[in-house]
Amino acid sequence: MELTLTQSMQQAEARNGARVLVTSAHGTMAAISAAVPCGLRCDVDSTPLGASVLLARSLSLGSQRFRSSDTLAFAIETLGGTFGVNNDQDMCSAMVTVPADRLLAGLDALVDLLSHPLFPVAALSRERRRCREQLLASAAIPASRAGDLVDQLLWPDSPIGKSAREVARSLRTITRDDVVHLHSTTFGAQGVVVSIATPGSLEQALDASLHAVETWPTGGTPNLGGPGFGEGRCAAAAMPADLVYLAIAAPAVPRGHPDAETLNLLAVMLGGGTTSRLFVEIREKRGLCYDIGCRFVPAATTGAIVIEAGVPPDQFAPASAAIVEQCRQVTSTSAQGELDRARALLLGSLAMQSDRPETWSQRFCRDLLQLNRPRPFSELVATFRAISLEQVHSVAQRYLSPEHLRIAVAGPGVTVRSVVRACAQW
Amino acid sequence: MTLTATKFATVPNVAQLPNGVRIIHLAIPSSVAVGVSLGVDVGSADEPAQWAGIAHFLEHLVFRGTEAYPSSTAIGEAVESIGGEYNAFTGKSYTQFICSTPKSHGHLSALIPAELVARPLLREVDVSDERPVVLQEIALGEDNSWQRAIRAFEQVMWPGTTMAQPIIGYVETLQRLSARDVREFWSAHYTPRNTVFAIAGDLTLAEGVDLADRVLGSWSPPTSTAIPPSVTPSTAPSRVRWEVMDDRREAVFALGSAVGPWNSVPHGPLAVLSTLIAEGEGSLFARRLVRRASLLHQTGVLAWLNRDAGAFGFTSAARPDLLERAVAASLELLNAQKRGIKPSDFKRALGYARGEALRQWQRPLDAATQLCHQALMGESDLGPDADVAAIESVRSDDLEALLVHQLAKEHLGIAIAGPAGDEQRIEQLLNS
Repeated sequence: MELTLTQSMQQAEARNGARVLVTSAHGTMAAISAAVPCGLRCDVDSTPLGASVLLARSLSLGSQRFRSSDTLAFAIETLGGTFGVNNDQDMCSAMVTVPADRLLAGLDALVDLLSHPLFPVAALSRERRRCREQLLASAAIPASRAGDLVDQLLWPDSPIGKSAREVARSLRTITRDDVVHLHSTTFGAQGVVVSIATPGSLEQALDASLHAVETWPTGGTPNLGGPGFGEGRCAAAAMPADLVYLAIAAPAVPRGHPDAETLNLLAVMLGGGTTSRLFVEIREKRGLCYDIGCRFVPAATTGAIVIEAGVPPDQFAPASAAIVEQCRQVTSTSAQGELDRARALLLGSLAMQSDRPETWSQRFCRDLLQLNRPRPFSELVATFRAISLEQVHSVAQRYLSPEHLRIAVAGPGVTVRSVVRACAQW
Repeated sequence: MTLTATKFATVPNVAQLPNGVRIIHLAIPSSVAVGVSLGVDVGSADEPAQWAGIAHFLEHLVFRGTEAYPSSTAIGEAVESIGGEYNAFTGKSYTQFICSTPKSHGHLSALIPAELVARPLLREVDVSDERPVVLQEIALGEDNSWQRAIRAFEQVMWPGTTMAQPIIGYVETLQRLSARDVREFWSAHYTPRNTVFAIAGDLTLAEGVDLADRVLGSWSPPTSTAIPPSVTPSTAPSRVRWEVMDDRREAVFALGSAVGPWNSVPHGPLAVLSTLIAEGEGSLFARRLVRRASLLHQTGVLAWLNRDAGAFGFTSAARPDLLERAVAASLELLNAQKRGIKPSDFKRALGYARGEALRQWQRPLDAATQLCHQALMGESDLGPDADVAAIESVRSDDLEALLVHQLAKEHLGIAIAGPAGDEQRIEQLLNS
């Protein structure tokens, strides 16, 4: 299958070290993404657990030019725009989408909220409370709890392996000073990336973005190593529910690692579409679940392959055994057709997502931040095409053999002992 | 500095095949994908009581095999090997089958939904294989407080009607459904005259019509008579329903009122009212109840507008011990708007609603889905330009009138999913 995408791109670095990139999009909307390397993994040493979460959520509470969250919301939304701020293991990212002819206004607002936040005391205190309550609510949802538990098994000594409950508990003690300090040590201009996808002129957008970031203060950027993997294999949480929620995971590699894109393909072959092994075997043939998926989740310094499903309580042992059996079989019995399909699915889906400007503004933002260069569609096509079935088998054997797997289960009546018994069947 | 941008101006084209299939086409120049939605004018509200859930079950079953693709794997391989995506969903009054492919494989984006709708196999073995999957889907919904609140809200809004029946049906009715029942339902409702073919992408009307003709032109099934819809007697009508989920640390509630059928609803004002109250960070609920009063964790809009009946309201999540205060504050804020909307709030809502209207037409698959939805509802003003024009013509008075008439206290109902609480107190709040 021949898949091409016309992508024009320009990039530059501002005098303060901030990097900007603009790329072409079609349609009427423009997307502006910005990211800094301040994620959950920065919550170490003197930075309390959860500070990065509160920081990300407090950025839109007011900035030098938009003094409150209301002012900021009105400035963007009256134009027909949207905005949001997120944080993950590695980074804090924000995105604004606006009608393309209002790009400048959206850009100014986005840069101001990230570079010059006010962290108003009362609003920050309320946001901390809301954040805690939402984390605790999430911890009471069985599927979320299983995900939390498997992260704890993978990275028990790192902030990224801490549960929602632990983060919620820690949030109580976090002060505005903690947030301000974290911002000053991680949001420096030299760590910043701004990435725009627009149907308008790239030259104008590049000039505008360089102009917008030039007042971004220089400051610290974090320099952290990767977390080690834990040795624990099983975890369980008994919770009332109609289903039992499984999360089975294997330690993997960070983004940019030579095995990373092979693992990406492997995850699609296992559980990325309706022809994937897990979908066919666990759902279509055995009727054990409504949905099942496998994802490769790469981060800056670590990564994992994660399989998730909700199954009937009395079927969790056979279901987990059947899942593990597919992990075992994929190491040797997967065929060229499966690989070709996984490749087509990944690339086709990415190509079609290009009809929204958010797709490439976000991808390039993350690429620049974590890999120091954007990876255009043509490069991804070449990378995926170069991966052979032998490489897939080799990677599957190294990462997915049963002795590498961790399992977390949340649902009615489950105990660590029952999970250990289920693992014995693998 | 002024930035240049491409102009957004698109009006859909309408055509029809000789067998009665309606075609709606929207050109989206430069798009990478082609999106098709094939919609059938039947949903859960058209089911007889003994077959509750059959429309959704049929939607699942067709994926088990068709004449050209005799298994679910064959269908999946056809789409996924060229990087496409496909899915389906069942509503109260229609069912849509959607597919999107890179435009070099546009033919497949039309063929797959056509196979699913016009040429499914519907074998006994498909029923026995698919039934447990749908039963797991029911269980998944039972574990989801948002879904539970919305299902309960349907019962508050449309008591004693087929609209109140869950789209997915009941374990008991699903256990009894046979392949023959499903085939009977299919042959009564899945007919060319009941079908809309919506296509969007970088292609002409002639190309769209040609694709539709190739995949559906020869479809002329024998027709049979549908069993009329009916409803199982349920619990007495109530303005408050509570789905108890004691283990949860959040209460989700849906608050709103029933509105008329699709063609009686003022869509532009409703879109702007949605954004004024609960969409976006600048909405009244987000500013005052989420960020300022810390009463809600999050909030959104529930605009469920169907062919025969609709409901309009707001979904929110709150800490269980603050639920009563959160409901009271939501009602108070809605009432305050009836006395007048601040010009700045109105301006923001209008701008945001316009932006949302533009965003939902960006992707060909979203555009095709939206066009199909509008056509199945009997809408005559189709497409993005009509949506934007409807929003731009809204005045502040229109919103105040909507609030006074549609969200009057005697019309309001609420459904809650979360830890048990004082149902009477919530009813008092609605009446106060």
